[in-house]
Amino acid sequence: MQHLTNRAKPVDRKPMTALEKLYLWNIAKGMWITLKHIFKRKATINFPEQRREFSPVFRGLQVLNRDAEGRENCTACGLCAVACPAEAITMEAAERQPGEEHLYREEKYAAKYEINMLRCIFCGLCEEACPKDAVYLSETFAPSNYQRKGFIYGKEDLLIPHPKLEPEAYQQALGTRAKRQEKASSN
Amino acid sequence: MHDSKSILLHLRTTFGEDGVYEQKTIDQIPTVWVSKNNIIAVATYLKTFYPLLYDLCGVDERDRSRKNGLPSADFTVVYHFFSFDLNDFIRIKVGLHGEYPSIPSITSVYVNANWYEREAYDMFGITFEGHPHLTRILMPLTWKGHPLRKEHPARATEMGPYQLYDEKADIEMEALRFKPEEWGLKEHSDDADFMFLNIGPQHPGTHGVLRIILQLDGEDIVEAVPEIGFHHRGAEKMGERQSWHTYIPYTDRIDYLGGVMNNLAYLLAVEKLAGIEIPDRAKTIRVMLCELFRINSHLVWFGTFAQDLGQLSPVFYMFTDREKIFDIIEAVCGGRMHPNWFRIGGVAQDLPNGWDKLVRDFVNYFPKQLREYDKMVMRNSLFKARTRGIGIYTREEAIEWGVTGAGLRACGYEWDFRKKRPYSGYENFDFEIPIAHNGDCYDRAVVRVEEMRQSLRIVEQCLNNMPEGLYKADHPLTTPPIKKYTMQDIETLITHFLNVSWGPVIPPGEAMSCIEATKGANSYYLVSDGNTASYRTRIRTPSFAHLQMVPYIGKGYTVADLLSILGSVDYVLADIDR
Repeated sequence: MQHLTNRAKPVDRKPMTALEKLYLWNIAKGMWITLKHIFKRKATINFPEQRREFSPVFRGLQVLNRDAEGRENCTACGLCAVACPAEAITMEAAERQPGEEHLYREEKYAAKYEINMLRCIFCGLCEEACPKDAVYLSETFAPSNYQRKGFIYGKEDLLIPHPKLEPEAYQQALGTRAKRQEKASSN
Repeated sequence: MHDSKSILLHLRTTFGEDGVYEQKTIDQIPTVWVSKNNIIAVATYLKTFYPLLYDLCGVDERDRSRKNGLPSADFTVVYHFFSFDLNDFIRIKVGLHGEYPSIPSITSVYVNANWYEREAYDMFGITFEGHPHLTRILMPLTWKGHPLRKEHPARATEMGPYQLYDEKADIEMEALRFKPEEWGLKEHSDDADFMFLNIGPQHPGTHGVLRIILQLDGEDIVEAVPEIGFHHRGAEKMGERQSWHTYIPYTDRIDYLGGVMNNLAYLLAVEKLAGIEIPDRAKTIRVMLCELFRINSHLVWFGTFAQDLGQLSPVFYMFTDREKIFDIIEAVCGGRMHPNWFRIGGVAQDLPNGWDKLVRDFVNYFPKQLREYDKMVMRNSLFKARTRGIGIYTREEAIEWGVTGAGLRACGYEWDFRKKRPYSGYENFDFEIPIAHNGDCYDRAVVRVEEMRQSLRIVEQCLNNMPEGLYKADHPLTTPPIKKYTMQDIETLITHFLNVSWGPVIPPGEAMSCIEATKGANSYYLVSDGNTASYRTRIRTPSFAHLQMVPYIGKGYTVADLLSILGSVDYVLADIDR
């Protein structure tokens, strides 16, 4: 068998000392380091009982936003859908009827708004594209599901809770964003 | 003293005025068209000055508009050669005519052209005459058509539903059967039968979906045949479909351990084409994130390498540290492994409040960890026994096979693109290029470990000297434009709409970037014909070149050594297959 080591310069290999040659000593040393780590603080958490905190800019599940009066921000311009590299967003627009001003902020709104979470890559380009602050990525991720259709999120799954009717759920959905918004408005 | 001018002059005098056409490109790389019959002579002449075949790719020119007086061609084959002495690239183009053209193979001059030519054949149907084994490399052997040709559909929905009926399943299975004689491998030697051992595609030691077929004599490797393409997602084809802006998330997924480093390689080429100057703050933010990702990628390599060699603990500790880096990355980018955070003209957002504390904590925390890993891994005699003197290659061999990055530096060659061809403001940072001298697995490890220290130094300098200013250039092609006025002003809203929907229109031209990525030199060679999407996106990845060399360096070692070699090469399958 031809060994090709002769085509390179010989390796500068210090002969191992007798102690090193035993290997056992090194195994013991390695085990000692591992043993020490048992007493260190755990790096893991017990999911799902415990959940780790996400950063405020974390890109998780999309949320459709409402303004302070609880009206939907989305005007169904479709910019998020064309900006989406994965083509995960579909929507249908409808015209606001008289008497619906408390529901929709703009004259046009999304009658249907769907995001396919199996296609979505959570890149955040929809949030960047939105000229109305209507869609943003929140600090949660899509839970697992047994069925494909469970990953098609409609408006009812995406809309943020109503700030007036369900203030607690709204605050919770805002997450740490609420603190940031307060900060921003106080400045 | 030769320089690129005198070389061009020589080409012209040797091959005649008609056979040589010089093209001006935006990236200032000397670009020369030569005729197909001269290519071997040209390559042979160039090899003395440009020893490294950096990249070879095809371009389907048939639909290209705004050629601006370039020679007519249906297809071109583009060669990028690199010279370490001149510290410069040269780009050679050969125009080809006909539906399925052919061109002489340059494998006799540059050995590493082998896989590149196979790829060009696979993607465009260009035949390379005299190639030792011209078969498909990325696509399945049963694939119909050549994906990067313009007539080939880019989407699955354009192709009709996929059905796997029994007969077809049999054909596909048969195509996967390894036939040694096709590779010129013998089933037995004079006195013994060889054994063929299939490693992968699902094997922890291959670090991804890679299949390596080994021809074994006892436990010694006689020949190794890597089979790649299982991770092929057609990233180059998608580049022709996505807008310049919406392609950025796809680049994240090329070397998925490198994160923003891929964004940078792509955007440097786009910004060259668009002529955008990046503000200093954006540059420094980019460098800081890139170096954090370099540490990140090296930690994964370090842990899995130790694991390949039988040490099971380090990978867990290193992943814990990696998580600390991910905390910073998440706080800054919002994403983790796929940050998609750089934009044409800068970065997506400014750094968040309190970023400096996060980074400072890490800079203070990490050196202690590195010392522990040194003790645990690098000084371990078992680790040394498994890596020293294994998988040796020399500097000449490395260059011949297109090795860049830590693999090249481990053979004693001080070459780092951050130092030699600085980009994104790397010239302003103080760091050293670690080198080692033996070119074996251990030395590649030594170099990478030291690189982590140097990266940490760069991060610390970014932290201490972060300039004030814009995080995104104020340029009409910056995408998306700064959003401050979008909600109030109709004029900026229109620009916003156009840039986000169509994306920016990048002026026609060609440009290549070259960065020192986590694994070696990474490049995007972009051809724009003045549209909202690139005409051709070519991604030169380091892993592709490095894996091609594995059969060569693996010969004569045992199977256990091969796993050391694979670990030390540090590749990512997504980076190989794209």
